[in-house]
Amino acid sequence: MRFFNRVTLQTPESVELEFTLAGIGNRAYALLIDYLVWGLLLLGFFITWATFSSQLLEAIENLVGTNRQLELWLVAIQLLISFFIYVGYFVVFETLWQGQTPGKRFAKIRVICDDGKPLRLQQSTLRSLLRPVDDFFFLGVFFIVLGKREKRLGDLVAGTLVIQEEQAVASSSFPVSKEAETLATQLLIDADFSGMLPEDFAVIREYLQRRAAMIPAARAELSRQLAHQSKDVIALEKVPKGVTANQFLEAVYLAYQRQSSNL
Amino acid sequence: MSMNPSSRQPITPLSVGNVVSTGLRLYRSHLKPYFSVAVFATLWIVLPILLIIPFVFLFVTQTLGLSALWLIIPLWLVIFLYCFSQYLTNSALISRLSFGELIDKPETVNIGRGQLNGRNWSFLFQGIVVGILLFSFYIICGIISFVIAGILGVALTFVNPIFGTIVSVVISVSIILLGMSWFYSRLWLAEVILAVEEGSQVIPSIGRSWELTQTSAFRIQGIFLVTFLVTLPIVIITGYLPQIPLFSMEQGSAIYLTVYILSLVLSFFGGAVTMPFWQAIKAVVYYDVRSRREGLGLQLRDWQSP
Repeated sequence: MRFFNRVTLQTPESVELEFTLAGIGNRAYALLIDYLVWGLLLLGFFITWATFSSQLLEAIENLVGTNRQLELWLVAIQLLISFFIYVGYFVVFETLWQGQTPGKRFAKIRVICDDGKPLRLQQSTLRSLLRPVDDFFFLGVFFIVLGKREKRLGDLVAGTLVIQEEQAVASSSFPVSKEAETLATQLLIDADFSGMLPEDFAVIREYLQRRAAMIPAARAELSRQLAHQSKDVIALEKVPKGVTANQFLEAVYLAYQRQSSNL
Repeated sequence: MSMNPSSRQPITPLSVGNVVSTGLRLYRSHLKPYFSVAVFATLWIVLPILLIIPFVFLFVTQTLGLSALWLIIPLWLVIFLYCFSQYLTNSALISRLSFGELIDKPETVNIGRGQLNGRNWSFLFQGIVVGILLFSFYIICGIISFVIAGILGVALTFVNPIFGTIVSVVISVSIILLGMSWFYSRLWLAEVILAVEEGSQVIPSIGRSWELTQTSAFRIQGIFLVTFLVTLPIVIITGYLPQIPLFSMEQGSAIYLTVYILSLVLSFFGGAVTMPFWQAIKAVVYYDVRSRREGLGLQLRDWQSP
């Protein structure tokens, strides 16, 4: 089944871009973290404001006597600043970081415009202004869950999409044994790598990268299976003697790398 | 990774958010079968509750004497256990169906049910064992949190009594919450293992769940949290909102009773709506954990098989 919800955009230059939509899980996760950070910011602001305003009131009292008007003004300003922090948190981060807030950065998702362009100030503001409706009446969740392009009210009004970031292929960090190095040179001579596709290489690489976290018994079985399959793919007649499945796979990995860099 | 055709399973492990999103996609694309199995399961669990009503009625109208209680209560208990086992089997069925979809070997509801049919007592036994384990761990957590919170509370009372109480309450609640969710996340997959893996038995399946989740406990706790948040609107609408009118009504009146029954029905309905979501996510977590720990899905393209 298709694991991910993919969407294709046509840019104005008629280039087709394919993105994976973020999905409700990532967005809920990002929102949780955002609310935590924003909550801490707001808490910090309240504490600072409380100390500031109490000092100010005391000072004014000593000068002119109690002033109800001033207290009300201070409360009003506090509410206004809180609102600005609420909207501003999302607007500032999304505009400066090209569609990411701290929570979205953690969940590896990003807001973009409908046509693939990066987010601008107007759209970010529209999204943030509609956020109270989306978050407090849970309308956002329903719209995202039921919609085709997972747009909540803010997205619909601002014309934005939330996509997953493309995963950069991390550089490999697994150890390669010495026997594999020697075997690789031998394999380049003996075996035929023309039948091996990049996808096969990706699978072997993924196995080598992740094998440390696997249950030993399962890892042994899997390495044997993959070794057999690789042997067939590179049309090798006989398995070299005294070579474990793991070493064989490492050798295939190295040999394919060298061969494709030579081409 | 952009070279992978989109119809292929991903070979990299899934993140917390992606697990929840995949579970939702599974549920949305199989709404009718999963929801009907969930409704079926909910009806099974409602049945013993409904049965209490005629028993109570008969008892109250003196048709049955006190001595009949010795027969009725064990009888009801057996019925309840049977219905609960059917509830557990049906909810496990949803996980089994979801997993079949994930590995591209889909089953129909009837075939899946046929596979699980004789084993409902195993599911009940497993549920009881897991429940006992959870309860024991809860006792341990409680003792630990009591000790730690007690020490902290006494120490901080010298600083500020109110602050000390708040801190000790927060700490004890956190220890219990985090500890219980950690422990539960390790045992969570036992149901799927029993439903999916051929020849699995109750106790080994619990051990296997423990082993498979060894490196993933924190992630699963995160998945619990996110799923809880996503289902929160439905839980509030079907579980808590209908109870609000009850506050303004007087107890025992006819309208109070009708609204109460309606709210009960609505909360059961909400449970049936969210159950396939949780079960599908359970299957996705099982798939992901097997992929991380056993390399499920890591195969070179097979040219022999069709």
